[in-house]
Amino acid sequence: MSTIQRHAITISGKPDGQPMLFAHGYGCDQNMWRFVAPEFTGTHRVVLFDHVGAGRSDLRAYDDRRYATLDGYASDVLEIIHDLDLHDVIFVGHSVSSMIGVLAAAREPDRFAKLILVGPSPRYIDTADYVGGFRTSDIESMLESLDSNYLGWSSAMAPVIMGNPDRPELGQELTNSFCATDPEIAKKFARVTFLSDNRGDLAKVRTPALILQCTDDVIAPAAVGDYVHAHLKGSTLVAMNATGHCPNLSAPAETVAAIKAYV
Amino acid sequence: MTENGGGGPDVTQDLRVPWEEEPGDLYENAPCGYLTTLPDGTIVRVNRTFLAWSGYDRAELVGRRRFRDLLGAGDRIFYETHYAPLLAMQDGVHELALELICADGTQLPILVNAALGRDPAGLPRVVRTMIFKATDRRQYERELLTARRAAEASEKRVRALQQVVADLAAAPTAAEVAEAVIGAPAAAFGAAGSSVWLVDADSDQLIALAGSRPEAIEYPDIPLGSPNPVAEVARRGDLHVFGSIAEAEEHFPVLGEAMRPAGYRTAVMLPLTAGLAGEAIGAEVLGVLCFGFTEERELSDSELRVVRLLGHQVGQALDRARLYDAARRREARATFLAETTRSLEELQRLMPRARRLAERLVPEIAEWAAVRLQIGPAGLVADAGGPEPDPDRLAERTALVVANGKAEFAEPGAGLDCAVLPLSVGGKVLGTLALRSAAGRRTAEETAFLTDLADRAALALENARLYEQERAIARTLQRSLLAGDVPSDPRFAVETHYQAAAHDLEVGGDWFDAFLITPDKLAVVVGDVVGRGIDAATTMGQLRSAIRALASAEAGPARLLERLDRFVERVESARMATVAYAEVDLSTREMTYACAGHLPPLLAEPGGSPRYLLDGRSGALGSHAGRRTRIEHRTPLAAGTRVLLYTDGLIERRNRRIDAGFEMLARAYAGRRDAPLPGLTAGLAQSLVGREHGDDVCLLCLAIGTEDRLERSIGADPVQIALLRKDLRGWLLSHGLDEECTQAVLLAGSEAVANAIEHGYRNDPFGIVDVTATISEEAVEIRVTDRGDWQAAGADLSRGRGLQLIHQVMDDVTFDRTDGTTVTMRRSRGEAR
Repeated sequence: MSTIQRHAITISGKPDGQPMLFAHGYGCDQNMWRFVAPEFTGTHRVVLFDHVGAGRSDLRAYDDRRYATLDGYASDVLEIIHDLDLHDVIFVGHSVSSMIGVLAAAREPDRFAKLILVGPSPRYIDTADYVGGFRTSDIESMLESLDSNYLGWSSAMAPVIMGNPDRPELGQELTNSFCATDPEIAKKFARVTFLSDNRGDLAKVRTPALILQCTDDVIAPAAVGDYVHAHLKGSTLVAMNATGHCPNLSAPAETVAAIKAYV
Repeated sequence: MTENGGGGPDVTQDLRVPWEEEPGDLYENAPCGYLTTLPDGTIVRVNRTFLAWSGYDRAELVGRRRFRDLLGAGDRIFYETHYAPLLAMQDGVHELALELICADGTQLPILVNAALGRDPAGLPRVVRTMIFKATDRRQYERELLTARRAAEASEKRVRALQQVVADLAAAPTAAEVAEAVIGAPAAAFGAAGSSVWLVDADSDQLIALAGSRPEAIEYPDIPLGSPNPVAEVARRGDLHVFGSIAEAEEHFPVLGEAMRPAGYRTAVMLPLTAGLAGEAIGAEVLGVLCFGFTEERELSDSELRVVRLLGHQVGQALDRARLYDAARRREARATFLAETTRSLEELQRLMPRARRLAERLVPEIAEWAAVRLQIGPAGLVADAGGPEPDPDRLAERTALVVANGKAEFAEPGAGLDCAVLPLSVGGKVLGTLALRSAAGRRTAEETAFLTDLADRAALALENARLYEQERAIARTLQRSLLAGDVPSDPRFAVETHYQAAAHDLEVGGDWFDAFLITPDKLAVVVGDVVGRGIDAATTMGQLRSAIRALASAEAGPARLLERLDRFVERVESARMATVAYAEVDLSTREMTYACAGHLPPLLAEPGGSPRYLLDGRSGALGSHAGRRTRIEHRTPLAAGTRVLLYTDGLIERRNRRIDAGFEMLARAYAGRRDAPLPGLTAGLAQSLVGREHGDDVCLLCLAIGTEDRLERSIGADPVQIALLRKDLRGWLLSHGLDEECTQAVLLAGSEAVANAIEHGYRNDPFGIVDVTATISEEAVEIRVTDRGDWQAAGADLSRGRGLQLIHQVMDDVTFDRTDGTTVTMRRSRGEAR
């Protein structure tokens, strides 16, 4: 299976420009970059993709074992890079994809020029000497929340999303169709995301990295951003005015400016 | 709706509330909560309904809190990962189910719709949020969710079961059945681990076939009668479910010890039975499936039904595998029997067959096997493998089997762990087959197989014995027929050689004969009867006698063959026999010969090259090919001529053209032109066919007349001396030398040759000694020449003991050492001395 279909890859921008690979975070798909990515098409080769299980990716490619850890997702990123023959990549990862990018860059540093980490968190669950912002019970409660909101998914939405991946307009007619996906996969991805601990991987990265830290981000609080900055050698931390966890949606102009200033 | 269509006047104009609807009141007291927030969620306006539901004061919320802050921790994540992005992307969210944290800390299930308002530049400006109380609905949804989860779990179980059933259908062995089922408890019920045990009926043990943990396969076998819980469940045959370690220990104290290290707190032990569901009681238990859960868990009725169903499905698959296995084993055993029979037939002789039988049984059937044949007081034994059992007990059991003709099988505790079976044909016990089975278990099937094996082996051995017997008779017959005296006369000499085929082949029908028809007429014959064995030997005897009876002074070879043709008309087995027949008139030295389908005789005249006698040829006896009259050919023989008659075994080879055989024979014959006649035929056979020959070989060489001058070359081998003596003696006598003088010349010649070999060729076993003898009216002269170095012989040649003898018996002895050593010895004849 080509990674193009598997990840619903879309390529735009300057064909010979430096590649920018945008990776969406947990909860949505490549649409998350709709206000940011177009700002780079004049200067860069812009590559967008969906993680397997999200958006219009091929759900048949979902494999419990492969995606039981973030390493499987990092392997996907590297496969995309190899398949598209990308070099000198600027990897832009939101949320959990920041850490996926960290893992990928640790494995094949030669391919990466820069990492842009939007709201990164190497561990979400608190420990005795680490503040991640959550307790395990919070994650269970969040999974409950997912269950409540996916009640109608399998009957109404699944046939549309799964049966007509090439006709997204059918999906868009439905309520909350953005970011809709198989709830089973969403739950598994949630577990992998929020129960991961990749603090040890930060030290393995030698690619220059920009950390975009939002104000008042409950998913990745400022303390976590500081932790990442402290453990990621050669990283730059930019504290943004944007609030929440998705500055790419809530404050695209500020986000774009911060990225442009860095690259 | 059409005018008046509804059956009444249009009253919409009249239906107005009797008071003025005030927008502010509508907002504040609407039947849903309203929140207006900035794009970042900061609350800027809230209605009274929301405040009433949530218990917050307006002042606590407006400008101070964000909507997100009113949600539980889980919902807050959901808000950030789903709600906020959706709102930003599609300008609205619909019917999202959340829990509102009220002022008093209680949770209020709500449904939320929100719309994002943008400014003229398209930037987000305001979020208007509408909140519905959903307590009952959420309760209902929760129930739905629980039901759906149960349905999904049930469906998952059914799917897992279907998968197992599909896998089981493709599992022909117990091991594959175990592989197919080992993952089922995890897939169907979420079990943490499982193991599969197979009841081995032959050994009365439970064998671990598979385990989800790698060490499971190393579990030791469990005797079926032991108090081990697995064995207990296999004996009882019903499903055991222990919902806690305490409950498990109540039933089986040791089970807790097994569960704790694995982290199990619930254990299920399921007997695998072949009977149909519902017939579990009394059904044969073929195995046990054990699985455990890390939590204390009760299995629902529907789960228990699936568990039982699984047990029956796996049981049936095990039963099927058992049948397959039995069929496979039967087939393998049948193949083994057939191949053993075929393999034994490759060998014809008795002991080789017995040896092969023993060797075939080990290790496939037995660890140790011995075939004992009742031949001689001790019997003949061929065995293979080991270790051998106690010899005394084995002898005891063997004697019992021989006496009764009944098999004795190994019984547990009988002291001798091997079976002894009689090898008998038609009630006669030829011997015994003793073996210690590799399987170590005794079943009716195994017993039947061994009995069948012993019967077949007995038949093969009996056939070999009969073959041996017939072969011995035929050899004896052949030897007795060929043993007849070959005539001798100073005018001729005959040398014969018969060599039987090397290996386990039956005797052939080759023969030779030489007899005097009249005092002056010698007949020589070499023939070959078609076929082998005792029949061929008998026929050969008949033909040989017939030729002797039919030969007459007047008839000649052609007439003789015609009479033989008539003879074979009555003796069918002699048909197609070939004969080379020659009559030699000793007074005229003329030979008349005829070949009936036989290879041509080879003639060597002194000083000439050998040539084949290709005349006088006609078809094999009784072949009726062409004319009924036979032809013969007449040829004069110079003194010293040798004629060789032989059978096809001498020159025919499967992988060689016959021409090449003729050529090789002619060459070998020419090379021995000067060899003494005694030993000539044996030497030819030796060099042309060697020891590893597959056919009988028969040769006859006739030497005619007496050479005036004897010239011989012999190899430097003391054995050759005796042959030379015989040859020389015949030559001397044929020249009328008296006995005393003959003895003297033989003695001197022998000593001189012995010296040449011993001293001249001490270092050269391939040296040649030339012997020349001449005779005149007055004296005999014999000259012995070698080309050796005589280095080790010492200084004075003439002092040797042999030389002293030579000097005593000969009149004149001279040495010439110019080229090698030549001793010339001379003795006067008779009174002249």
